[in-house]
Amino acid sequence: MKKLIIPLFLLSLITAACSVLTLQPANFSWPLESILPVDDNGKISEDRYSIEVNTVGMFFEEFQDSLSYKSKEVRMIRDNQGFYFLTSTNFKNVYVFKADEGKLVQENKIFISEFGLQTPAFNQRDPYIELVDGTNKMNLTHKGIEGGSK
Amino acid sequence: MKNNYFIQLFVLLMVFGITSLIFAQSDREIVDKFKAEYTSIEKSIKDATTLQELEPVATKLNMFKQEYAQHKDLLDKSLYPDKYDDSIDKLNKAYLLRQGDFSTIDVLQTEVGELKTQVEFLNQRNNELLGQVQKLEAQKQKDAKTIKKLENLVAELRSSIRERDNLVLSMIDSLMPPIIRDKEALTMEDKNMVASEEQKDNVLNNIKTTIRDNIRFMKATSLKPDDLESIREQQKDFASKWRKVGIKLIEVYAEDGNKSEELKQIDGLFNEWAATVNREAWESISDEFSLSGIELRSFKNGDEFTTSVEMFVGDELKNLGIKSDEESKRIYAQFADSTWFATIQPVWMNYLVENKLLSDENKNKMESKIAEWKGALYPSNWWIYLIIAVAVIAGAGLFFFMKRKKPVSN
Repeated sequence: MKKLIIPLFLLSLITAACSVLTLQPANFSWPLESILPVDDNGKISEDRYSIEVNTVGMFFEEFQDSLSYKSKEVRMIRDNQGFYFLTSTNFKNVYVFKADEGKLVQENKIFISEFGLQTPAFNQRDPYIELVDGTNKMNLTHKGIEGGSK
Repeated sequence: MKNNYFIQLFVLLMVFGITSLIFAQSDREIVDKFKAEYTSIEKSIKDATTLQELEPVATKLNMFKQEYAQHKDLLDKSLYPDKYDDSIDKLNKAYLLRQGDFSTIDVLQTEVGELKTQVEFLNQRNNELLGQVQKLEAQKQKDAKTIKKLENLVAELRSSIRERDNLVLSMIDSLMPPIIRDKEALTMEDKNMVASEEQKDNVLNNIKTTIRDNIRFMKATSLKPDDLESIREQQKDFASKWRKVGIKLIEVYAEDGNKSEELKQIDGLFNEWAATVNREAWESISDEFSLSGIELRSFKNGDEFTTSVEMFVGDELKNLGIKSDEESKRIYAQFADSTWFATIQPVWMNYLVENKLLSDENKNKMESKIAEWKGALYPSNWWIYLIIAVAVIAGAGLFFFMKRKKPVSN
């Protein structure tokens, strides 16, 4: 027994020294979606949350056209876990990103409609993000669609 | 008929119900709509030009508050930096503030109405008094009774003009309350708020009448430095108030094509008033000499006054051998004893120097010229006293010398 106590004590000391400081719980949710015009370079920026990101890659992914971002608006919202949800008119998908060093990295691409979204809008419905498109409503998480009607 | 009505109502309710089910509402839309309505109400409050125009905004504000109360949580989270309650509070405060502005204007316009009646009464009274003063001043022979009456009338007129000036100043204050006065430029709403149709012809005319009456009063009377000092203060007060609100009063009350002309006219009157206050001192001094029978060449500033006195004294000095000694001394007595040393020096000199109407250099020039005149008329006999003193000393010296030289004979 005594032989076990000493290694256990040492192990607990090492574990404590190596653990990362974590602040929790944290809630990253934006109360309201942002409707952001895409500029000539494909960039969108949200002053209130101080975020600026280039969306050219997302438009290319959606339309296979490198100039499809021209004169478009992007709808963007962040859920409580910190994932960004982006979509736009005529998109078939909602793109989910997570923040990384100097970039947004795609977490998921949620397929919504073969015909494309007509008037998409996001609402914050913690813990979900509600996607509204005309008569259609559905709840999303970063993993995909959670129930709702389509 | 009644059935048709119910059917229509039912269809309408169904349409509304279905529509609300069909179109799921975006939170963003709710917030944007709230913001748009907020801005619209804020604008209505700001743009209201009368209390009557402002009143319906209260109902609108209440409906707005009730309509969005159900979205309070969403709005609290979404509005930044204010929340729902803060936004409603801001609108309420803006409404009350504007309501207060109109109430103040209403009260001030009532005050102006009352002041107007008093000013009109005083205008009439001042005219009558001025007429009487001018009539008495024009009389060549004034007995003691007339002079007393004139003095009383002038005092009454002075106090009445001052009272009217103060009323007009109050009117200006009421017509241009600080909330409007402090603005750099007046908007159309501001102008409408302070402009009162019944005052349109009154305000600027009253200012002009006030200045003109002050000028007429000074022209009709001969004033002492104390009176002039108080008129100078009054003139400065009036001019300073005019500088602050004049342009705004013109903007509101002058007719469109006539604004620059009105401004020019009133500015001109203010300049004339200031010049008259300065000139009045010289005219009163000239009157003092005239009363003693001394006619100086006319003067309207310190340099001219000095030149005039020097010329007069110079002429008298030149005439010393020509005129009789008695006549020269009489003129000197009238000039110096009855006027210069009796009133000009003790009464006017300080006022002239303090108000920079006369320089010390000019004052010294005149005094030395008068001293020179006196010296010529009454030459000093100091050399006779010197000869006598020398003779006395010499006599005494001789007496002692002789006394010591005399041998003692026993």
